[in-house]
Amino acid sequence: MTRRSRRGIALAALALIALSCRNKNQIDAPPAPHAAPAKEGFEFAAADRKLVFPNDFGAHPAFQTEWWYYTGNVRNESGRHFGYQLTFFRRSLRSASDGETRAASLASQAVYMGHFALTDTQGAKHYSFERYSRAADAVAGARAQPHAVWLDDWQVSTARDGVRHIRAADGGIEIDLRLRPTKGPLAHGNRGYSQKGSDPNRASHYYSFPRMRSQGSITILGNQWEVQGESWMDHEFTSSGLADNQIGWDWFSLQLDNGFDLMLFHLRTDTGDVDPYSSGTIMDPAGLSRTLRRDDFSIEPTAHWRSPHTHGDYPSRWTIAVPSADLEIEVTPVIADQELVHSFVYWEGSVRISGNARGKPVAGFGFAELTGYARSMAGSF
Amino acid sequence: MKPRRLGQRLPLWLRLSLRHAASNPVQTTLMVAGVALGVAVIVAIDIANQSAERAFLLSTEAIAGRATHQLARGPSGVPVAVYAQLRREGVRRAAPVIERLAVPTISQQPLTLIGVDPFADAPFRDYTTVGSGFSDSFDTLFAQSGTVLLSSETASALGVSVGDTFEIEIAGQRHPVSLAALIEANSPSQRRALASLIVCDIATAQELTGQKDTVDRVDLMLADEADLNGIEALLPPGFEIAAVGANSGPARQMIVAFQTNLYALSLLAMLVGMFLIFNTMTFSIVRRRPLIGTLRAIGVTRAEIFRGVCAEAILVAVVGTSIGIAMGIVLGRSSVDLVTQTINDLFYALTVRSVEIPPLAILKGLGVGLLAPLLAAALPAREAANAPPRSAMSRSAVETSAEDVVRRSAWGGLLLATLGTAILLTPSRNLWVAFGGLFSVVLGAAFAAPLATAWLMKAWVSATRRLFGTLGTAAARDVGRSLSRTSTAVAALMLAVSVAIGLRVMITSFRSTLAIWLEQSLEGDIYLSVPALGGTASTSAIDPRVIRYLQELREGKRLDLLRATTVSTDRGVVHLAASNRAAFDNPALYKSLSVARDEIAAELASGSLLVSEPLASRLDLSLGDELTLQTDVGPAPSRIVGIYYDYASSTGTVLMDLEAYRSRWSDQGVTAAALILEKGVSVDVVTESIAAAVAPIQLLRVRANRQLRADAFAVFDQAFAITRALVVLATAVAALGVLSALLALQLERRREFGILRAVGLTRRQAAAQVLLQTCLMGSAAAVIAVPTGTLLAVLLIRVINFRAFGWTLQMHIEAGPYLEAFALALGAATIAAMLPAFRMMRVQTSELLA
Repeated sequence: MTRRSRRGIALAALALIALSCRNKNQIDAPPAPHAAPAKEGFEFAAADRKLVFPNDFGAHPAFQTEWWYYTGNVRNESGRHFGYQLTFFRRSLRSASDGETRAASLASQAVYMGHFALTDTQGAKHYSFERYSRAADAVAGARAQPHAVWLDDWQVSTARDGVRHIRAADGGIEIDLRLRPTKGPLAHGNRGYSQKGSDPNRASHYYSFPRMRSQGSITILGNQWEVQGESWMDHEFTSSGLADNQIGWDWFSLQLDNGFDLMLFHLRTDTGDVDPYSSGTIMDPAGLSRTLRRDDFSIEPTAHWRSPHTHGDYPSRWTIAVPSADLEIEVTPVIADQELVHSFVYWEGSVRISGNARGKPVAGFGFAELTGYARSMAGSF
Repeated sequence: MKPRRLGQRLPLWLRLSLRHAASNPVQTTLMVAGVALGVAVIVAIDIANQSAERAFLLSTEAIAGRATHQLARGPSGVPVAVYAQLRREGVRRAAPVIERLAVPTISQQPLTLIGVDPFADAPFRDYTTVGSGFSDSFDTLFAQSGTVLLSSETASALGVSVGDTFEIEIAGQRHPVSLAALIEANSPSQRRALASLIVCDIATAQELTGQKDTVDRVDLMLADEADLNGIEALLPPGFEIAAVGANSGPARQMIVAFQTNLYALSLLAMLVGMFLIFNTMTFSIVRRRPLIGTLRAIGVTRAEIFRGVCAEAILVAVVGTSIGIAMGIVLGRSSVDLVTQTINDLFYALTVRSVEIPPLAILKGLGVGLLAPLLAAALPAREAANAPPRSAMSRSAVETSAEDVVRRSAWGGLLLATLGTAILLTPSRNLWVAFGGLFSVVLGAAFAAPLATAWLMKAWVSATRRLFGTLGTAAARDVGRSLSRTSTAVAALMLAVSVAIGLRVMITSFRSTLAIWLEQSLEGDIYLSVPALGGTASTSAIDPRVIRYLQELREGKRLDLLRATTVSTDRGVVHLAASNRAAFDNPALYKSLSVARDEIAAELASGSLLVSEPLASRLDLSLGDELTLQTDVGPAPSRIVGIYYDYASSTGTVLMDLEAYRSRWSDQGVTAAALILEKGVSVDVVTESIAAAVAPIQLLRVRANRQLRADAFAVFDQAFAITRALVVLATAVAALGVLSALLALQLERRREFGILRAVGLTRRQAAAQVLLQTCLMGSAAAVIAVPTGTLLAVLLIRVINFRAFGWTLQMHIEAGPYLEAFALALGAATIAAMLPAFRMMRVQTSELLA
């Protein structure tokens, strides 16, 4: 990487870091209190706020932080497997209640950050890219109806029939997929209110499209494959970050071949425990969902991988059990190294599933996200 | 160590030289002063030029950054939608930019406001990414309207600190802005580049300039032709992608021409200095011929004599150069302001906050200061060394050989002048070549000066006899006969005076041409424009409400509107002016036309162009040529139907019809308006009432015709301030030369005067004799300077100015410069005669004879 582009990234990093969340471990940023509460004027997630669609597909400037997460596992005819991730983060710098209305078409109160990654399982390669942009319709933004979110040429758009078209390209890596939702939107937690700490403000609004039938093409450095598979979409918005004692999370989105889907996360504390506000959702083939509390499931790491890039020590294989659903599965990354080293360091990658549900073997694919292993994520998102 | 011991260690020739220098303190001081002044001028100009040059380059580099190309669409700007389209199609190395002149009301020092998108900008410009203070206040700068960044030097120069609000003026509108953070430069060059910038977020820039949906340009980094073609395919018609560098053309060229002129003038000053040194050295040798003869007779070798004389020159050179460099640095610091001011007025917003002492300037000073005296001393030294012992002791031998030298020098001068003329006649646009020719001609005249002096003295003998009797005859004859000592002094003075005449005539010609042109071209009674740098035309629009108000004004008879802007053409970026009265009423304003005069208006209405003389010269355009303008509706090849005189801009202008302009660009803006009043209406009263009426809408310059003219001349005079300073310096050097020559002459003639005094000449008469002689020398210099100076003026006007700026100036000769030149020559000579004459009054005859 040239000196120049590194500097560019440093700037972009500064931009996000300076927002409000001064992480003591971040590059260049001065030491600052952990987990600064949301800036004045932002709205907190509230249990009595209900998700309303399609309005909630768009951006929520009243909340400080928001993301749209597209992940998926696809293969070509001969079975070559790929995992992809396309994420749009929005972070407000000022709340809308500051009252300033600006005339300029490029005026912006928020920053968008995009992450795009592709796992080539057979080639044992993981590619990832990061972008930043001001939030201004011309360059980056989100829309509720028809749903769209974009950052330059990384774009999601929705056709009349509800099929979402996602496109992203960088450094010779391209995805161009059409996703047809077959389940969802499904609200997590209490009708979309997902509490992440004892303070009721420490929560987000959170829904998913856990199954989206996906079809399109994957291009890696000039080679193109026609692929199909399943995608998962998450959309979450909040004005609070992790609690002081929370150092990161292990998050899973798992699609089983018996039609069930699982969303689970563990919030890890600085004492090495799992925070009681960790939770999950199990969704049956018909789309009925049930919230799982901390004690309703277990995630046991059974192997570790040490990152050669950051020396972060990540769990790399898990045994996951949901006793109430009579489910026990092994979850394994399709390749070990799916770490994203950009402004933020985390592991996000495609995983393979095998195990038993109600006495029958199940298999599947999913995605896992592991944060706070290379650096604490407290105060970031 | 005791001096005696040191002295004894030195070789004889060196000791003799040192002794001579020490025992003639006045002459030694004069020689040193001559070298010092010459060197100082060169170093000072070099420092001023290079500091301004560096600042210019750094500032343009800082603004252009690493962009390889710029996407622009003339005056209407690039719609944000077009930029968005590029980004959506995956063009990532694209950054929107708004760049404007902004003047903080606290300082009135013009700065460049540059609005960027920090995210898109990272690959382009370093300063948008540096500094720790930046990250802390990023969200303020980014999300809060009206926030800016300054370098810490600029902030402290303006007296503002972070969080403070101050006012800036952009296109006549005042805006409060607040300082969000300081940009910390990470290198000295970056610090200098940032000195003239106000950096802000692109959205703030949009708001400050009132362009909600456009930006000025989009900077691009393109790897190759394919990249370029790819982007061009995405663009609607009317957009142009120009390679960076092509854009900074006109201003840069003009600054270079301006600086070349300054350099050449500083060399002229040095040339005068060299004459002075040559003169003084020659004389000090001539005076010591008896001593040299004696030394040769007692066995000192030629080589030793030669070395001795050279050592003396080196001594003078070293001391003079050291003083000169120190003086030059001091002078340079103050001339930086003059040079910068002129560049600001005429070409470009420039802030030179740090004066650079470029090593090259010091080297040049050293080179010239050390070599010139050696060169000047070489001839006399050789002559001294070659003289046979016996004849070296005789005076008549010297003067006889001097007569030969005078004749040979005149031939040499003729040769040089011919060579110079030949150089000047070669069709080159290179300024240095032209200056080379100019120098040769002037030097040729200087070499011919001694012979001319001899002739003049012969011619004046009868006149002086009639006026002053025998003493008069003696004075004239004496000057003519002691050419070995007088001729170089006369030549040096003549050179200085002719430079003064040449430059003065050039400046007065320029000024009178400008006056005539203003008279012809300024038809309006009242002019309105958006404030801009000194003499440059603003490209910011006048508020439409002001135009409506003017149109409805009862006292108005006619309203001429002008849109000044810059547009891209197939020949680079040019200034364009569009007017609703583009065809001139006065035929004298046209230099040439390809159509009949009554057809011009129709031609212009159909889209043809007029180009100003400097533009035609700079781009080598002639009548009938086509210039392709990049318009909003695509490239428009337009025919040039006329070339007109324009002294307002040295970069040149394309003039077109306003309606034709508006049909090609979606731009209704007007940048200047001229109001012609009904008869009998008081201009002053209406000017005042207009100023009062528009003040709440926009800060405009509302000027009566008279005021506009005065302002134009103020800028003009400012531009020539430094030239005048150089003339004064060159004359000072020459006056020193005359002083030193006369001093030596009088010192040497002590015995002669002693005899004259002994046979009855009074002290007063002796002093008068001295004065008369110097006045004769001064007059000779002035007389020879008249043709030389006039020739110099012709060359400066016809060759140098035309090549540098493309202006045809009408030669305007008035008595002023010549009278001044005479006064200068006689004044310098008289001042130079004061000391010797004063001595003559005081000394006893016996002392003189001793």
